[in-house]
Amino acid sequence: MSGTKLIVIGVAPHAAEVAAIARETTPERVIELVDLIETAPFEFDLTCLDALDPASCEVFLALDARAVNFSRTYLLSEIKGRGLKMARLVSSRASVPQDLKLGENSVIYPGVVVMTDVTIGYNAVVRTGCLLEIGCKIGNSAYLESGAVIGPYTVIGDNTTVGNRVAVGANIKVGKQCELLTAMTYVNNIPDKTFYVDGYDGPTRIVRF
Amino acid sequence: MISSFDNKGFASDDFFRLEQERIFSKYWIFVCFKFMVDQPNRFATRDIAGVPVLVQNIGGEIQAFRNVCAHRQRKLQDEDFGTRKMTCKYHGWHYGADGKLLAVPYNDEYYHLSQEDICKIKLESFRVEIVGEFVFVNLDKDPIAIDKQFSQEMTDLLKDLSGHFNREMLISKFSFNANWKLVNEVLRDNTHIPFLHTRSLFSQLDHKVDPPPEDHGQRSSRIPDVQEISGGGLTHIFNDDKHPVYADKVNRWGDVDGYFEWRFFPNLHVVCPRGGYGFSIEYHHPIAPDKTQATVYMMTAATKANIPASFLWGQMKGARVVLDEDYGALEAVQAVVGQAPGHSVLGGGEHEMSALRNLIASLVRGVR
Ligand code: FES
Ligand SMILES: [Fe+2]
Repeated sequence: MSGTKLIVIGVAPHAAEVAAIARETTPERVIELVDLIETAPFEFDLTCLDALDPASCEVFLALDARAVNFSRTYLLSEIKGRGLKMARLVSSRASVPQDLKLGENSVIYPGVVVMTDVTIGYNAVVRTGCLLEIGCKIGNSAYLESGAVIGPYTVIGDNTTVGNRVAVGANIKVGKQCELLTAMTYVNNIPDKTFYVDGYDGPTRIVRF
Repeated sequence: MISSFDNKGFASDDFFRLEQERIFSKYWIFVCFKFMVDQPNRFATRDIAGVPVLVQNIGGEIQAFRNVCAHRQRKLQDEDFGTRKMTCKYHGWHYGADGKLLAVPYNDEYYHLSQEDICKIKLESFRVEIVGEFVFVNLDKDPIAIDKQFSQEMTDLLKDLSGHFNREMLISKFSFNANWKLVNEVLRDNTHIPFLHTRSLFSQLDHKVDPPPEDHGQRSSRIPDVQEISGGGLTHIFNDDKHPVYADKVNRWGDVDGYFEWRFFPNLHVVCPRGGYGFSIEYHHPIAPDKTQATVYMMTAATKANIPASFLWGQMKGARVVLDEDYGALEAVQAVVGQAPGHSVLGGGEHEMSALRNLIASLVRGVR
């Protein structure tokens, strides 16, 4: 794969971080950073994609946590729709086992430790210092902030964000589209669309009645 | 000019207790939306004036009870809302329609209550009124008619808005250290917007200040009818044509690109933040003289397509920025409001606020 160019498309500073991880991990590879222009909230100028040749490059889409739940999924489908291949990035300074299942367009930052039997979906971000215990599953488009600890056999749902220094216990099921930002240890299952953020009395929830 | 309202009313425990007794225990208080309790065994709970209230669907009927088991007083339902029979988690006593005790496990072996005794045991029940999707409860045994509390215009509005609510709803709670009446007042106040919301709301609005009516002096000094104190409407027009990102996915309410808000006495606030594409219903629960908890319910207008959860949550976080600007000021008021000077200076444009203070003072004194 290092024969092809890697195009990192995204918004600073996250895109720059991803490009830096790619550069230090595969120094021989040609890596280009393309700025994605946000024309309106959640709307992007995609003309930069038109110049890319699917035969000679791989693409990594790098957007920050703010856009994690929606824009990334939409843009990903736009990129794949043009026949472009998506990259997977694991920092050479992360400790990951042979058997790691890692989805496309996912990135593992330096200092991450992953135990065996772990699955990470596509389009996921695992930032510095995260610890992924044995058998855990990280959903598609999940976003793990620095220092998050995911317990053994715990499942993190698609599009869920786990905050800085947050710990999730063992065998916990965290739903989809959640935010666990209050720094504490979560020991109970958490339904979809539940948001733990400082300054609120208990979690905010979105419920369909 | 000088308000006749004694500012101790914002800080004193006695005044607070009397409000709980003479306002919150006497008027219709919003508890939940009908769609939260429209299936058998669905329930919602709310503390009203210190009374734990349970609204429960029993066999299709929506009824309200004191949320306390008759046996040894465990709360019957723990959550704010959910789906669960009225069975106590402590010793399994089970209740049915009208709060009647239906089953007592181990009665034959242990309690030996006669069938006659069991038939007499009932949960304390409260009156329920449903207006559109809004479920109100009144703790009073002989409550005022709800149309004495809200005008026809206001109940029609609740019904109209209800028809546009989406069934996917965000529920958020947070507290701040200020009296519930101060929140009521900031909602009636247009002149704080350039100062508190300089970078948020103010920059997005065509901010205008309207002159008071000619009879503002008389309006300020009278004690209004409870019915008159609920109201509101179109408050601001936006100076841009931004619509929520989900605008084309919903059937909006109305067609005006403005900020609408209505207050329902005593503590319910209904907002259309941007042109009827979505709704924010804010309930201000008085916890103590100097502490209020807001519950915010947010939904879009009924949807034509799926909307990602992040939109509602994003809207909540955006609203929270503005609310925190308000609450920051209210907390700074609360820190000193019970001290001298004991009365505020209110202007003609603040006649509604004066009238509300007059009404609350009269209700608390029991002259009404
Ligand atoms: S307290 Fe409820 S069953 Fe005993
Ligand atoms: Fe305000």
